[in-house]
Formats: sequence, C-alpha cells, structure tokens
Amino acid sequence: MAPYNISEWQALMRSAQAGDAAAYRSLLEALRPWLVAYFRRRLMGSDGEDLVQMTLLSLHEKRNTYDSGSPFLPWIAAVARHKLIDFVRKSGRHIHVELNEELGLEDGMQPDLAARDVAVLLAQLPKDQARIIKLHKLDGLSVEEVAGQTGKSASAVKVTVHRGLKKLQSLVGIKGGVNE
Amino acid sequence: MSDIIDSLTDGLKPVKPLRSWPLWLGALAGLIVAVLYIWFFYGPRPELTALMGGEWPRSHMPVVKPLMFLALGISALLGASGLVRPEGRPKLRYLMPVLIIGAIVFGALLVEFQHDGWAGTMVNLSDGVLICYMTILCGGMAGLIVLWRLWLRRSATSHPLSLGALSGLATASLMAATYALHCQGDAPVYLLLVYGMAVAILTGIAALLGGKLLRW
Repeated sequence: MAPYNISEWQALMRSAQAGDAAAYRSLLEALRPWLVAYFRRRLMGSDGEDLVQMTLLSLHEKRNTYDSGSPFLPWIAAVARHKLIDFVRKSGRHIHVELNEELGLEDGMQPDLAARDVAVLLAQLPKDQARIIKLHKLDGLSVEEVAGQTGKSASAVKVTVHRGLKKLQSLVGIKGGVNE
Repeated sequence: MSDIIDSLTDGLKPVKPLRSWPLWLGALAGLIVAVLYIWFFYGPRPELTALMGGEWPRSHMPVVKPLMFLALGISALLGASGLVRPEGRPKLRYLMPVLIIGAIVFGALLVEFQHDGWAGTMVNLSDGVLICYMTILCGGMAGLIVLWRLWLRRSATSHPLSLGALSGLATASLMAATYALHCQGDAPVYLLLVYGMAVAILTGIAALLGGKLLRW
C-alpha cells in the first residue's frame, strides 16, 4: 500500500469546500505526489507534469461536485482518469493500461475500487469475451486451462484475448499494438 | 508546481456543493408551469374534465398516458442525477423504463396493425401531429435550457453524451406527460411515431449538445 494519508483527504476537501485555504493547500500538496505516481504508472514512466497540473485545475473548477458525505478517493480517481483519457485522445499518445487490479491498489485505492476500474472496462465487451479475458488475465489461468473451462480451442482463446485487448485499448483511446 | 498551488489557494472562496434537491425542485416547478400552460391554453381532454367530476373514463389511457411519460421523465432525472459527478457511471436500470414502455407500445402497435391493417392503423395519425411535435420539442427544449442554467453547467460528468441524452429524455418526457393531459391521440401508432419520435428527437439533440457543452 502506498504511503498516502488518504483518510485525511476527505476532511481536508470538506474544509476546502467551506473556504479553508490552509486545508486546501495541504490537500493539493498531498495530492500532487499521488497524481504524479498515478500518471507515471499509466504513461510508460513519463512524469505527466502537464496532466498533474490539468487535474489540479479541474479539481479546483469542479470541487463543488465532490459530495462531502462520500469517500474522496473515488472522486479524485475519477477526475484523474477523465483527464488522462482526454489527454490521450487529444494527443494520440501511447499509454500503458495494465489489466491488473494491482494497478489501482498501488495508487492507494481499495480493492473494490481498483476492481471497478477493470470491471468498467470489461463491461464494454461481449460477455463471453470478457469472461475469457478475466480467466486468463485476472485469474491467471493458462490458455489451455481457459480453453478447458470454456469449451473453446486454445487458438480460439488466444484470438479472443487478442481481439478483446485490442478493443479495450481502442475504448480508452490507445493507438498501436496490443501488449499481451 | 507550487505556483499553481499558490494561485489556486489564493483568495479561496467557499463553494456551494452540488446537490440533487434543486434538480427535483426545478423539475416540479417546471412541471407545474407546463401543466398550467397546457390546462389553460390548450384545455384538458374531456375524459379528464369528467374525471374531476368523479366519472372514471371508459378507457384507462387518459390517465395511463400522462403517468407513463411522467414515469419516463422521473427515471431519466434519476439517471441524470447519478451521472453529474465524475465517479457516476451509466447503468442499465436508467434505461429500463424506456425499454419496457417502448416494448409494450410496440407490441400494442403490432396487435393494432394485425387487427386494422395498414390503412386502419395510419388513420390514427391524422389529428394534431404538428402541434404535438412542436409542443413537446419547444417545451422540452425550454426545460432543457433551464436545467442547463440551474444545474447541468455545474456538473462534472465523465459521460457527457449520456448525461445530455438523459436530460433531454427527462425534459421531453415531462413535457409529453403534460401535453397528454390535452391530447386525445391514444393509439399505439400515435404514441410511437408522434410522442415517441418527438421525445427521441429531443433526446438526440440533447445528447449532441451534451457531448459539446458538458465536457470539462
């Protein structure tokens, strides 16, 4: 688990919404390394400094949309994800999206939130295809084991996984080949 | 980086958190205005006047039709309120009322078509088509503009097209519900091709507008 004091962020954001500049400064300063790490993991090691600034600006402009009764992390994660997708679509950059729930966990997200990111992506695919990708990529089954479970041939499983990952990449605006 | 943090924290002002109740209050106020407009400028259909005198209509449609569109409007507003924050996600249940009501009306249309044939079915489209279209489109668009001014422009959705579409569906459906207090066109073909098409057109326009205006 990353060394972020996430439990504090919700209270800081609430105070910031009420106009407490000191709390707001603490929040932004605490968020900055989290955002740097968030984007670095997804931008093939690039520090994404522009994206961090854009996200902080969006946080500021849209801070009224944070519901003070809800956890803060899903809100800021959604803002960061939105900015990332927007950035990738506009710049046509190659980003690295791992189909791996650990990715979100390293950002300090709860397992259910990290899994939700993956579930959101998989929900865009036909059920059979999503199931095969889940078995192979998330549950760690070999191609042969997946073939055994689903009644398909090993080559059909490989093709399904390849096409599914390609579709997932296009859904998040990534151009280029599939990294399996 | 500290420059941006300095500039964001300097002169920080409190913000009004986005709440759902202004949406519902605004929708209720808009609905009341629309009902008054239809009631006094167009006039209620005779079955509703009789109903106010205690006489239940022979067909349920004078009551069911407004309630059907009211249900569509409310479910679309619920969907819109679930999408205004960045973490909101589209859910199939927001579309279930549209799918269910659409399937029922389409089924009724097929039965009518089998029973009356093409000519017998289409004769139901003769009255009031233009005024129905214009009322739903203009009234719904007016509602959409008010919704934008009061609520949508403060949103931060990750799904601008869906939020736009649900907003258009909501205002068009609520306008259709109020126009149904006047309109006597109850045939399935009328509901599908006149009401349904008008609501669909505004939903499409709102989706396109949402795609442009709700980006952030």
